[in-house]
Amino acid sequence: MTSLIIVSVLAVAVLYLGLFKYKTALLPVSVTGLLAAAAMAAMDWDLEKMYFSEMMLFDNYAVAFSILLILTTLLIFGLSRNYFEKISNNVAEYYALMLFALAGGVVMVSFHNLAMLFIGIEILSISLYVLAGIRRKDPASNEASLKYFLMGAFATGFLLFGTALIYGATGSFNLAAIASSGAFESALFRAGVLLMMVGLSFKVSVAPFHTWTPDVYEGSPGLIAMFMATVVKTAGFAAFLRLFLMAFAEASAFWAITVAILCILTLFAGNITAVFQDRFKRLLAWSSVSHAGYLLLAILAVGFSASSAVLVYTIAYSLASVAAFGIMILVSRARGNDHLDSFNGLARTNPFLAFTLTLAVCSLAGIPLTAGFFGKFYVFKVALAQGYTWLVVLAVINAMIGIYYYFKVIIAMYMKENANAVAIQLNPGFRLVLSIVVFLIFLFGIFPGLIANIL
Amino acid sequence: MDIALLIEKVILISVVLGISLVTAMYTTLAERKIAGFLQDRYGPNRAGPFGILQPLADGVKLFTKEEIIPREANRFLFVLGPSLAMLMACVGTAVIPWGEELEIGGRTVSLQIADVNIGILYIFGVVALGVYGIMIGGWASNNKYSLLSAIRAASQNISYEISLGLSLIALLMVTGTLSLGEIVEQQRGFNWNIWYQPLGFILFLTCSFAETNRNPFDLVECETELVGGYHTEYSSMKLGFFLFAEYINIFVASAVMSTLYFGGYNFPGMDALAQAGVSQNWITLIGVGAMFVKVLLFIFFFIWVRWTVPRFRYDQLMKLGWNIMIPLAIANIVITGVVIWLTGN
Amino acid sequence: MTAIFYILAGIMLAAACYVAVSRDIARAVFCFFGVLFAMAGLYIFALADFVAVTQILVYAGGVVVLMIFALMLTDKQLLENIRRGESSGPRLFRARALPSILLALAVFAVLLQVITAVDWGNMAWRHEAVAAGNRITGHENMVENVGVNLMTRYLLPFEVISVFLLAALIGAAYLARGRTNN
Repeated sequence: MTSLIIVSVLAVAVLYLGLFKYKTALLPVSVTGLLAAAAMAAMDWDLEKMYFSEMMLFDNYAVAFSILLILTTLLIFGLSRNYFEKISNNVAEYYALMLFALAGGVVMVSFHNLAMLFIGIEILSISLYVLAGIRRKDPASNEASLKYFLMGAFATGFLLFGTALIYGATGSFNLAAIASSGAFESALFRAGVLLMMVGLSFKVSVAPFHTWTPDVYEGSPGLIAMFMATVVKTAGFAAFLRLFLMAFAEASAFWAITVAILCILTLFAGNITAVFQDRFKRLLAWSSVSHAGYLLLAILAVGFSASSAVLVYTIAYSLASVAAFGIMILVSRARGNDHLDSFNGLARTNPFLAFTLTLAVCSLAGIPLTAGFFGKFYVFKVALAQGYTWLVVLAVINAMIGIYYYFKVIIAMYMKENANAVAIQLNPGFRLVLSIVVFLIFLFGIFPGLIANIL
Repeated sequence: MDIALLIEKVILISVVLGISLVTAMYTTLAERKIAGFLQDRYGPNRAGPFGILQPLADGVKLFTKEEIIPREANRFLFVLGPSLAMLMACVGTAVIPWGEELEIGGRTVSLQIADVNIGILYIFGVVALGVYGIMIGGWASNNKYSLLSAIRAASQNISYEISLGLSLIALLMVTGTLSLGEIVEQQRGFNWNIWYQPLGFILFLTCSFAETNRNPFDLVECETELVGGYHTEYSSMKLGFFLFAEYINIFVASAVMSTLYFGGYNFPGMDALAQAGVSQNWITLIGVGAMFVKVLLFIFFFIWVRWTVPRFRYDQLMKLGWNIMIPLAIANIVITGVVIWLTGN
Repeated sequence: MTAIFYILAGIMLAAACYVAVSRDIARAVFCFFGVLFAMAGLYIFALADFVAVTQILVYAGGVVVLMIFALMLTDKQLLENIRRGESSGPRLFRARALPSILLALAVFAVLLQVITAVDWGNMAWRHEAVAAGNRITGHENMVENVGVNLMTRYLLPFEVISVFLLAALIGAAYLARGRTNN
């Protein structure tokens, strides 16, 4: 709770800094505030505190995901020096909106009441609608913003409708009360679960509700796309899992098959389309759709092993995405676009970047010795434990397709030459963040026990 | 449903509606008379003694004029505009308590059409919808001046609605109820809300001028810039409806202000009269009289301001609304809250 | 009384259908206004007078005014061209509209199934609430009820919504800011 307050107040403080033109103070203040927020979140460990007539529950699940969200935002902020200044003079708003979105994310991972879930999702979404369109003169950015807004509003409708039906079936918004209401057989409850699932699927871009994803990622500024791929996806899945774990677990026989179908659709839609992309940002967008598919696998296996698997997966995915999007930003800035050909010869001009990106895509693809491998490993493990062997087989096939398209960029960097490529200059922020990411990907890839047993 | 109650309410509605229309009618005359007085001339004095038949003459004239609907106008909306303006102006009177209860043949008759417990919100809702007539009429005319006027009306209405609502919130903190009936009850005798909410009243009064599009905020029909404003293309009785709706709005706004801040039908010494043995019916009737005196004073104030204060510029209007009225209204809420907290009730 | 319900619901459905199929944005907006108004009527029918008035205040008095505002600032000729371009071919059933129609039908099927399958008068929590006297008879002061609940049980959502509104406000201010100082 304290961390949520710190993040919200921090956003307002950042706005004031912007008002009084302390531009240089923005980043240090935000970083300090986020560190404080993460520390305060960590203090809630093992306390299992309920807040405000059971509106929020800061259990270990909430604490772990809050810290993950805050730290990911911290990494993104580390990359943002001199990034937003290129877009506009009013930089404070970006930091404030990202912090607001983060506050929404924290609410989403710690809600204990459907009202809070809704508000959390809306805070996150409304900030992102604006962030997606912050390049106001760029038609692609405007399109992204509008598309995201329309789709998001539509999804919110489903979510609210589902919430209302569940209230109708159980008479409560409280997760514990819903779980103990015993109304799982009623058609009202089932329709509610279905509609909420549709709403949440929109938000985390699960097929067939994923169609907005590539356009929005492509149109948004790179850092915002990175934020969407990491923080938003993590918060979305944490909320998804929390809801189904704490409220609908008893009814899993009913919704499991639907989730399984969504999972297959998402995996194939994401991976197969990604194969045909020749722009790295769109490729990453489609791969983020496919990762939603793997994460759905974990949701099928309701139970605490599922939360652990989702945590490991989202950590690995967030780290790899930060690196991949960060290097995409650098390359497209230096070479004019994010076409895969732009990566040609990167290994010769910038061996560090090429190595980092290789590591990142290996982690995304799930190659051993990277964090991503253990992400997939745990997800597959919990799914197998629930007896979804056929699903895991399909997922493994998809992972192999993934390796194919992820390696396209590695081949471009190492095998292809680009005669007139010049070395890309890195600012200290990028160097620091990318080094941290490389270290962590290796660390969690070699000692997965560090994160696998948190929950 | 009790038939007697139904009849009672129908009579009351007709009476209230009749009174508001007649008042509005004579407000038009009063406006011209007072304008004449302030400008040191006679004003209309040909139709009947002192010109008291002038409103009738105007009505006959408007009814018999040629009715023109522009070819490119959206016919349905063009007719809907003035009708809505008139409707929204009239429905506001439904929740205003005109007096205490009357005893007629052993039957207690309430002089309030509907004592809903969200009376203030109802008034607020009616005010919010009041702009539709102008907006629809202005847009449907397919005339750039009408359109500009409609846009002005919409933004002015929305801007001032905020400070109107905020000034009401401070009042609600004092009264603790949304029911107009109860609010008036609380102001018994001379215990009027104006003593507790002077700033709130001034804000509310200013917003009322803006919401009724009266000078100095009548940018909507600013003839030096917009020809006739939203009613440029209107003629005949449709024009009459628009103009008339404005006067009904003034009447309703005056009644609301009297009710909320000036004790409604309460007058000093009403308890003394009751102790002196005057029957309740008489007190009620005097109360109704007191209410109307207050209303008429407010109407006079509206007219007085119109002929003494010049019109604002549009940016000044917006600046006043957003930069002065809203902060003041918020400050008023804070002050009210602190005072309530300190006095402990 | 039931007749009133069906009249209101009928108005709402008819207006909503018109909004969905209409090619004339102006009429669609005014019909949307009708939908919202009938909706407010239904709220009163459900003894939620506060919600009803709020509905009128916020939606009819605010949101639709802004929609009309946007409409007024839109080029009329442009709207006309869009309408002319779209009106070729049958109105409702165009190939482009197929996914939306399917989606709408799917949702309708789910809801229809719910409506027919649920025993509305016999839900457990309703019986509990009635037994505990926790229900509305129409004589309560609903405003007080809403206020007390907002300040006690729903205090946190109430406060967190301020973060939401602030974010929306900043976003709107940012997007609407004049282009000159950029």
